[in-house]
Amino acid sequence: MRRKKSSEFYTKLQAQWIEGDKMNKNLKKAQLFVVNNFSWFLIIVLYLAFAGLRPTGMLSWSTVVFMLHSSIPLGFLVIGEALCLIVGGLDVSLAQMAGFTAMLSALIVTQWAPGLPGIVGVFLPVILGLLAGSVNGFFIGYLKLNPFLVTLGTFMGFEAGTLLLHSYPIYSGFPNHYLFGGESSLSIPIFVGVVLLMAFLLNYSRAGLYIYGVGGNAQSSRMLGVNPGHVKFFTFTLAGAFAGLSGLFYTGFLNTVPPSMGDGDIFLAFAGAIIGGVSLEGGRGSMTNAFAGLVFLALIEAGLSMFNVNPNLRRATYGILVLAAIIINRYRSYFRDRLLQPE
Amino acid sequence: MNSDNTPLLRMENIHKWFGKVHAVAGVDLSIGEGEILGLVGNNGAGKSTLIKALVGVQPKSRGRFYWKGEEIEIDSIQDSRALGIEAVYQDQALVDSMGVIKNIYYGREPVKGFGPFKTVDFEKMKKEVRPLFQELGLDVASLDQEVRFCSGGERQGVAIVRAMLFRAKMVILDEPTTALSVPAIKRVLDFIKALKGEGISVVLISHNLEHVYQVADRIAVMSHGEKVMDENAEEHAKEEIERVLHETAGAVD
Repeated sequence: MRRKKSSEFYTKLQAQWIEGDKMNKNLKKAQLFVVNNFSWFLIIVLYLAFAGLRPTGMLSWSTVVFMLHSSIPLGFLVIGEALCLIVGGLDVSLAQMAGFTAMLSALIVTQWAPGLPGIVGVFLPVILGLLAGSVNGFFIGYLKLNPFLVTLGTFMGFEAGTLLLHSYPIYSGFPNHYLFGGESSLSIPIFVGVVLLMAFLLNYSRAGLYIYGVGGNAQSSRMLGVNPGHVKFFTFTLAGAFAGLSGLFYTGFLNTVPPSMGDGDIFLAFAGAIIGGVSLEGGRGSMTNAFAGLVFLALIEAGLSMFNVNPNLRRATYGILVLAAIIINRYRSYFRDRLLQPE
Repeated sequence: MNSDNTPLLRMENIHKWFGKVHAVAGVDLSIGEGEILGLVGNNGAGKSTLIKALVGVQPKSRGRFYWKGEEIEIDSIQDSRALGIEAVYQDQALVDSMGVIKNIYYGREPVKGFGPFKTVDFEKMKKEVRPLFQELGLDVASLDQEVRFCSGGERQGVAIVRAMLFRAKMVILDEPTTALSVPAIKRVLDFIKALKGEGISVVLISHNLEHVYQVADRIAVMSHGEKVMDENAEEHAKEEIERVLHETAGAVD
C-alpha cells in the first residue's frame, strides 16, 4: 500500500517535472526571442514614448512614411556596412563611394550621354558601385591589406574624385525615371524588399553562409576549402553595389547631386549596423536587425527634429547612442550566451 | 588488379621547404587500406607539415604521391578531397559562431532549387547527419547549437562526422586527443576504431604514444623531417619507439 503511494507520488512528481521543463523551455524560447530582436522592442518603446509626448506629430501615417523614406539612402549604406562587418572587415569609404558614383552617374546621364534612357541610367550607379567596391575588395581580399587602411585610402580617393569630376551640384537634366527614388510609394517597398532578400540570402545561400563563416574564422574557412580572399572580394564588391544604390536614391530624394553627398553618413551607417547588433568582430549580425538599427536612427532623427533640438546636439545624441549600443550589445550577447548554453 | 600489397597511398621522397627550413626531408611512407597508421614524433618533427602537404593545404616542394599505385598530384584541398582524403586538424577547423550542422557541411553544402535561386538544403543535411551522430554516440543538444558551446570531445566528434559523411577513404587526424578529458579521449579512440570498422584508412598523428598504441596497426616515427622508424605496433617495439622518441627529443631541445 505504502509502496503504491510512493510510486504514485513519483509519477506525479515526474509529470510535474516534465511540465516544468517544458515551461522552462518555452520561457527560454521567449527570452531568446526578446534578446535576438531586442532592437525592435527598443523601437516600439521609443515610438510609443514619442507618440505619447506629441501624438499629433508622431502617430500620423505621413510622418512614418517620411521618416522611412528619408532614411533609405542611409539604409543602403547600413546594409553594405553590415555585410562588411559580418565578413570580419569594415568599410569607411561607403558614403563617399555613394557620393562619387552618384556624381559620375549623374554626369553620364545629364552631360556625357544625355540620350541614355532613364531606365538604363538607373542601373549605372549600381554598376559603378560594383566597380568601386571591387577596388576595395581586391586590396582587402587578394592583397590581404587592412580593411580600415584600404578604405581610408579609397575614402579620400572618392572624396577628391567627386570634386575633380564636378565641384558644384548638378541640378537638372536627369532623364525620366532616373529620380524614381524620390517617390516614397516606390522606394520604400524596394528598400524593404532588398533588406528581406539580403536577409534570406545570408541565411539560406552558400555565399551567405560563407560570409558568416569567413567572418567567424577565416583560418578554419581556408582549411575547409572556402577561400577567404574570394569571399571578402565578393562581399566588399557587393557592398559597393549598395553604395551605388544609396547614391541613386539620394539623387532621387534630393533631386540634385551635390558634391558633398554622403558626407558624414558613414558614421551613421556604422551606428545603424551596430545598434542593430552587428558585431565588430565579424561572423555575427542579421540584416533584419541592421534594418531595425536604421529605423531606430530614423526615429531618433524624427523625434529630435520634432522637438526642434539643436543639430549639433543631435550629433552628440548619435554619439551617445552608439556608445550605449555597444554596451547594450555586450549585455545582450552575454544573456544570449547564457540562454544558449546547454545544461 | 588491386592486390593486397598495393597500398592505398604511398609517399615517395617527400620534401617540404619553408624558405631555408627543411621541414620534411625525403619521407617515404605508405598506408594500406583499412589500416591505422600512427605517426609519432616530437614537436617540430615535421608530422603536421607532411600531412598538410598530403592534404594540399601547403603543397609539397618535391616528391611523389601514389594513390592505389597510380601517381597523383595534390595541389589543393579540392584535389585531396576528390580522392577521398579527409583531414581533422589539430584545431579542428571549426567556426565557433556557426551551428554544428553548418560546420559539418561548411564548404560543401547540398543545395536545392535551380539557377541563381539555389538555397542550402538544411533538411537534407540534418537527415544525413542524425544517424551518424547516433552511431558515434554523440549527444549534442541540437544540431543548430553553436560549436563554441560544444565540449572538447563533441568538437572532435563534429570534425570526425565531417570525415565520415563524405565517404572518405582515408582520414587524417592531427593530434585529436590533445587537451581532452579522459572519457573524451576514449571516445575519440572509439571513433577511430569505428572508422577502421568501415574500412577507412586512418593516419593518427600524436605525440602521445599511449593513445596511438591503443588503436594503431603500424607506427612510424619522425624526427627532424625524416622517418626514423616504421614498425608494426607490437608490444616489443614499444620500448624501442620510446627510446627513439626520447633520444630525438633531447636533440630538439
